[in-house]
Amino acid sequence: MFDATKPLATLLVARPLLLALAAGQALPVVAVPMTEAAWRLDVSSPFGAVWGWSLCVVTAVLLLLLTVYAVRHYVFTLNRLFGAQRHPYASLVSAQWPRVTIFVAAHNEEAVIADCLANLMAVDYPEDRMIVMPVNDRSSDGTREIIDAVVQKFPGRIQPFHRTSGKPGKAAALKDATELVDTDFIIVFDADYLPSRGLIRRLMAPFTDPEVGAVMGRVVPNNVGANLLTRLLDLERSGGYQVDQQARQNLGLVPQYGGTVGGIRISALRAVGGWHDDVLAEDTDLTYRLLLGGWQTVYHNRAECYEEVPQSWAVRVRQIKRWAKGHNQALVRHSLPLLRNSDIPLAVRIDGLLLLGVYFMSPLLILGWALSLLMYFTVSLDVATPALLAIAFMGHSALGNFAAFFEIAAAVHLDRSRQRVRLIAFNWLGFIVSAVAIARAVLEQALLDRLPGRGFHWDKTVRYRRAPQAPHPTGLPV
Amino acid sequence: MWALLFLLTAAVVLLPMLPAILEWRFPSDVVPLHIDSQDALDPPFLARSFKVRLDEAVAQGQLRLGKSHLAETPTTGAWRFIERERRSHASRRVWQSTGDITLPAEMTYLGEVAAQGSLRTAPNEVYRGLWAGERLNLANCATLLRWAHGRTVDVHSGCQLAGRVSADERITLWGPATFLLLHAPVVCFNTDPVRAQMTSSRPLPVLQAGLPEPVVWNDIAQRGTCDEPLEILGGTAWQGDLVCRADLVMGPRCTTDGSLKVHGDLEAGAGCQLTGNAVVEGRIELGPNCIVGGSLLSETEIVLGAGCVVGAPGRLATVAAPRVRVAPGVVVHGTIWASDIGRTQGYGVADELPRRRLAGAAGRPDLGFEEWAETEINPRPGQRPSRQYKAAA
Repeated sequence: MFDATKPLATLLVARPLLLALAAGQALPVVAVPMTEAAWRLDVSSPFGAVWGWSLCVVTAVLLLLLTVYAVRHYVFTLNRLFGAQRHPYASLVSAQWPRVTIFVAAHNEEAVIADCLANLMAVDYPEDRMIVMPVNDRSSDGTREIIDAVVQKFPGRIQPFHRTSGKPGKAAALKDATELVDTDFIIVFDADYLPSRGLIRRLMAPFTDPEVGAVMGRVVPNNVGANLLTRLLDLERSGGYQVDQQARQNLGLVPQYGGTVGGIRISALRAVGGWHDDVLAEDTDLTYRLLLGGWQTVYHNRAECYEEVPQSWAVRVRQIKRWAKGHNQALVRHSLPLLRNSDIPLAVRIDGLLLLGVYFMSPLLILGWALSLLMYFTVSLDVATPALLAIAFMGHSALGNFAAFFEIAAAVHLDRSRQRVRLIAFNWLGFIVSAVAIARAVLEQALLDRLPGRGFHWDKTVRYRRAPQAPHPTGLPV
Repeated sequence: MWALLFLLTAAVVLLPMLPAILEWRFPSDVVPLHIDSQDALDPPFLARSFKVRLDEAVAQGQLRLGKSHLAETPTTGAWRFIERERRSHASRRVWQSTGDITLPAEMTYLGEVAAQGSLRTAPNEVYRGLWAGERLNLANCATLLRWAHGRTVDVHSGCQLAGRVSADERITLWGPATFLLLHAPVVCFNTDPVRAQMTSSRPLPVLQAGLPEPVVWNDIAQRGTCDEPLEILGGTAWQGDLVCRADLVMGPRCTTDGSLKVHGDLEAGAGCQLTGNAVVEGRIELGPNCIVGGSLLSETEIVLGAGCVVGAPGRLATVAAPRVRVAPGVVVHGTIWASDIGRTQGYGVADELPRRRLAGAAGRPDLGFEEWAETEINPRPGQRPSRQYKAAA
């Protein structure tokens, strides 16, 4: 029993808690209307008051988190639709472009590597200032032969790095490759990406700013028409980049370096300790180390590059599980240092923390659903409450869960593509699959991966292009 | 009864899904998002594309270029305008010549005009697009809507350049003008570029070496940082990048071999020299005769004092901000891009140009082009070009 009539401070805490609970999921709370002097809050359960109150508090915390993320989605979307847009480097047309090394990370990429290299040979960056370095990490298929054939075709422009031993994984391969670099900047692509003609210039433009440590471009699926999944992923990508990343750039928060279609300043990389090859998501890890080291990561919305998205749900599940594990590892590593760093503005720290926590929200959401059921069946309710709860639940769903869909719809609008937004009603499907996959990843990471012989192993994303295709001079996907 | 209830319930659930189901089963929008592979950051792109299309049309003897009629300018005698053109004082045809052209006055050109040789416009007229193989001369108070390109371009007093102006060799603005984007190896404002180059090569005496106390230097990162407003004494010289998270004021004749990032405003005194770039979230104001080797980017405004030089021959640079103001004697090697408006100042005459009335003038067609030209043809930096732009491209 909680009587909040006495201390004012308790009342101030209890009132928003009550409102949050009432606005959320199935609740065990019997809120007695305030008399002249008092609020009364009754929680009763056949399993005892401790049980009822525990569920209440945990649910309130979850609801608060969900509300924060929902508000964040709305703020970002409204910023993109109506706020001031920041593209400080987009108008850099003429410059003395610096020398750059372009890594193409490849592990058994015989199906796609030739297209990527061919597109890089057609970009409009000065040839004498650009070195392409395919980082062939212990491939056992025909990747090496294909790379060597392209090298022969473009003498002097490609310096392949065939890595035959060493620690597996992209971060370890990039770490070794970086040792061979004599330029001040690197750009990283995955082998299935198809850089467009002006992409390198756009990615290099922000490096005119000496505060910028990393640059992230926009990823655009090129196999949109394959099936429903690719179309849904296309919508998700739009929301993530066109709205989420750009809004964070506009608001001076934490745009994320995504590990591909991105550039890094070598001096910044060295200043924050180089590549860490013991992490599962070297991109997120680097974003936060740069942030903590006083470097900016910049998102460039017009630095667009085609990629291939998964065409089967099984591949998608494996991909998102991998991302979730890496992201959550970064959450554990960087949360406290981020919160403690008073040199970083508070808004940036909070957004950084929320960004780190995005993959942790799925299991919490599922936990919230379970708690709702438990509370519904184990705590007594009065007559009026269920109707109120039903309305509140729908309201929460509309305002909370739909925030992400609103973000996607806004992104499609900003992209000036009209019809594909009709598919948005199907996004609940991707949402459910992602939530379950991420929850499984978190459980595996917390429990199973710690068992002997159950360490994390790299799960390569399946490619769908089947044969090397002829280089396309325009850089458009073929 | 139960069946009806079930059907109604199913309808309520599925009705919101109907557009999605239709789009899924009968796809109408499955093309990958367009990526500008030709790169919109190529200022002469529109001009070059036009020239290629024009040459193809002429070679094939076509009478139209797109939706416009093709017309050849007369080698001698008066121009043969059709009745509707004479009546409205506006031509929508695309005019082209293998020689030089001097455009007649009292006529608005809503189609492009191209000359293999030189092209001279009439004063006080409006032009959509101008292409000259040699010298392009924009007469006093001419207005440009989309683009202009020549080997050299001369812009005279009172011109309003709402489109992109590019040149293979040099653009010279001889008087007050407004502009959006100027791009050439040499863009000079009422000055002789050779004289400006001689000025820029003079080394400055160093009065004080190194940065003042609040700046924290990081050897690994090769940069200094400062979290408070910083004022650097005149004559100071230093090497390396500087990040100032507040306002930065540089006294006269400071020299730095590196780049600057300023979160506030940057004010540089007369004769300062900067070999790298300056990226500023606030306003940039350079005093007279400053020399910048790299690019200047501001999120608000850039003011270039008289005699400033940005970039160098063979080492192009960009001056970009929503608003740019340029004094006489400035030379920029590369690009000046003012996403809102660029204007000259300090010419000794009224710098505020009269806003030209483009629409609804008596006896003139309603162009309605000004806003369109700014938003569609010259998308703001970072903005996705519209479909019209892509079609034009």
